[in-house]
Amino acid sequence: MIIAVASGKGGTGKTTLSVALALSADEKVNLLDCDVEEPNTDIFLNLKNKNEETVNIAIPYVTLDKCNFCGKCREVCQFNAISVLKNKVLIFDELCHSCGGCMLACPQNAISEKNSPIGTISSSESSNISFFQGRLDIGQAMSPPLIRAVKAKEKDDMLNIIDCPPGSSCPVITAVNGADYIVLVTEASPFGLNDLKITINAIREINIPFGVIINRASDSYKNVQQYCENENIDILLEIPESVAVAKSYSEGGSLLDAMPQLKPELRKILDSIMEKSL
Amino acid sequence: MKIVIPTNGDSLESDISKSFGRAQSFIIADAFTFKYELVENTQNMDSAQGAGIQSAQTAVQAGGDILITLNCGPKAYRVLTEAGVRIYLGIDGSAKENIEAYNNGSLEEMKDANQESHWV
Repeated sequence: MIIAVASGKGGTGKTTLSVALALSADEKVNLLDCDVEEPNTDIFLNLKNKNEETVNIAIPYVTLDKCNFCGKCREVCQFNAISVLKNKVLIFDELCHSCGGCMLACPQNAISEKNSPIGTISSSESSNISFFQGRLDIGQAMSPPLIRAVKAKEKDDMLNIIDCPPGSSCPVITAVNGADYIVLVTEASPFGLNDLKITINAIREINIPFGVIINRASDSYKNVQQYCENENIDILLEIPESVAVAKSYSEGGSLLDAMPQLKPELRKILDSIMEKSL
Repeated sequence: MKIVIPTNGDSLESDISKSFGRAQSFIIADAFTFKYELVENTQNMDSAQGAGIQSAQTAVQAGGDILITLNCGPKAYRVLTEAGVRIYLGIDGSAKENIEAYNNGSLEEMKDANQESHWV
């Protein structure tokens, strides 16, 4: 079972809800922080004994002795990452998508692959959570290869909760790929609603069932509820705006520290998602 | 001596383009006779990324010795300098005015990219 927690707008409470859902489950949860450009789930878990591994992508490497500078690798590259000069081949690692097309196109067999590090995955474990967190190296532009590496830690026989990056583009689609259900966390604001709609349009394309949690709900802005009603979208939970939650968050505490009464409700949400997905 | 100038027009009277990587075409002109040819750059105008790299490749393949441009990013700069093309900072005006300015010695050679790397 894989439940992805995504949002649209950033800062709506994806990490807060991912951690709270993980802590509400009866069983042991495999929690994956796929927000690799700004991972912070670890702050709210306080786990010790971290292990760290490097994640590499394959970048072409040209053996100049074999190269006849025909330029076929440059022509086939859809990412404009290669320049072939009279006696040099320039590879722009940061533009490469590791598709391997240049290797196939080379008539001289002059291109091989070399590993280029893009980030790390750290892992730690407690009695009720196993945790993996991707962290993209500074200066790296493409997060999906690292997100895929974190998602390779999903476990078939466990409840997996994926803390996704914000937005609605490649990183999010990569993070939710293969999920049984998506929990969309939004805030009760025009910004939250605007970005929620964009993400819902993207998710409907890939046919993964989803529901909405409205965070920082208030009586003064009900447009999210109206939108969900009109679109026949399940509202899983409304969490009221609360100074206590903000204070707990600022001290690295979980949502459940400030609102322990949410635990049974979150447990119910997990149960109903699992029932629906069976 | 062949001079390459990015432009969105099609003659020596056309203005130099503000963009190098996404210029519509390149004027490849002889610095002394002003005879020129036009090389289309439309494929790079539409590319999602790497337009500067491939435009630089085009300038190199056209046999350019000198590039006059208003802007040059770091990746194009790397291709051009690795290929031995020298880059001069152009002036607002036509391709012809830029060639004349180069011949007068009033253009400055660029010793580094003057634009940040840009993404999609």
